[in-house]
Amino acid sequence: MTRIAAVGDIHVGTDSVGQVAQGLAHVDDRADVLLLAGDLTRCGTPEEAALVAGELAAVTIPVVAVLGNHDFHADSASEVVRVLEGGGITVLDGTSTTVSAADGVVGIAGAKGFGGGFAGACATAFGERAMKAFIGETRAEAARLHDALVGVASRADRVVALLHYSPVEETLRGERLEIYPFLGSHLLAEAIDTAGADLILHGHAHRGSERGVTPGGIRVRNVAQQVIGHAYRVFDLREPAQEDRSVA
Amino acid sequence: MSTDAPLPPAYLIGHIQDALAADDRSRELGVDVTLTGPDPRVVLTGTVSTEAQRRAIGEVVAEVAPGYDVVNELAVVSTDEGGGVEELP
Repeated sequence: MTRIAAVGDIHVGTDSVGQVAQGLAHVDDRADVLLLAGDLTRCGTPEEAALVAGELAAVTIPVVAVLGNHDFHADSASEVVRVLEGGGITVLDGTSTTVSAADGVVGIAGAKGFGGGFAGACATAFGERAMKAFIGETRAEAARLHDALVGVASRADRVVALLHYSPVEETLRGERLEIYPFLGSHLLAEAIDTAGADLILHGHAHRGSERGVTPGGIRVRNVAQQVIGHAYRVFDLREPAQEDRSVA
Repeated sequence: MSTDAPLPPAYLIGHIQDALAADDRSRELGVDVTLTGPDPRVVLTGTVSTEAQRRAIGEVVAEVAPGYDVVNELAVVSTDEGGGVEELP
C-alpha cells in the first residue's frame, strides 16, 4: 500500500505558528508522503514561507507541494519556493518527483492550475488581451501538468496529480455557481485524463465537496482543510491484487 | 449622491470583501458576507485559519461598515489528526 497524506489551504500566517505543526505530529506514522495542495501561506511572503518550513520541520516523511494563488499575492513566488525548498519541501510547478513507499514508487506530478470554468460555461481565449492571457495561463498550466504526468509515469507504480485549482465541478459543490470559473477548469481534467493518473488532489475551494471524478474516470479529492475538517486526509492507494488478498 | 450617504448593500458587500482581501489583519477571500435588516446587520460566515484571524476579520468589517452590527459566525478550521483513511483500490 501507498499511504498519501494530503491537505490544502493551510494559509500559514504569523498568528498560526504551532498550529500546523501540532496537527502533523503523527503524520510520519500514518503516511509515506505528505502532499500540500497550495495556499501554504496567507499572503505569499518569504517570511510566511519560512513559517511554513518551520511548521513542517519535524515531519520526516517527504513533503511535496504546489503553490496556490495566495502564495503569489506578494509577487515573490520564486523566493517563496526557494525558502520552502531550503526547508526540505519539494515544490512542483509543471514538474514531477517520485517517492518510495512500502510496495513501490509513487510518482507525483504537480502544477498550480488556474481557472476558466467548465465545459459549457467557460471562458474562451477571445477578445481582450487580458481574456486571452487568463485562458492562456490555464492552458499552459494544463500542458505542463500533462507533460509532467507523462514523464513520471514510466518511473512510478502509481501516479498522483497534485493541483491547487480544481479540474472538475463535483468537488466545487457548495460554492456559489457564479464563481466556478475562478475555482478551476475542465482543461486541467482533460490534460490529466489524456496523460493518465490514479488520483487527483486539489484545494482552493473552501466551501466545496470532497469527492469527484473526471470524465475519464480518475478520482478527484478536494483536500482543502476547510472541507476535510482535519489536519489532513490519508489516501491508501492499494494495488487491486492486494485488495483481493485482504478480502480472501 | 452625497459621499456621506450609506452605500447600497450590493456595493457595501463588495467593499467589505475588498477590504478583507487587502487588509493585513485579515487577508482572507473565503468569507461569506450577508446584509440583513430591518436592524442593519452584517453577518459573516465561512471558515478561517485561526482564532486571531477570525477576530481581526470582525474588526475590519466593523470599520468598513459603520452603523452595522457585525455578527461574526465565522468558524476556525479544525486541525486535529482524526481524519480517516480512504482506501482507493
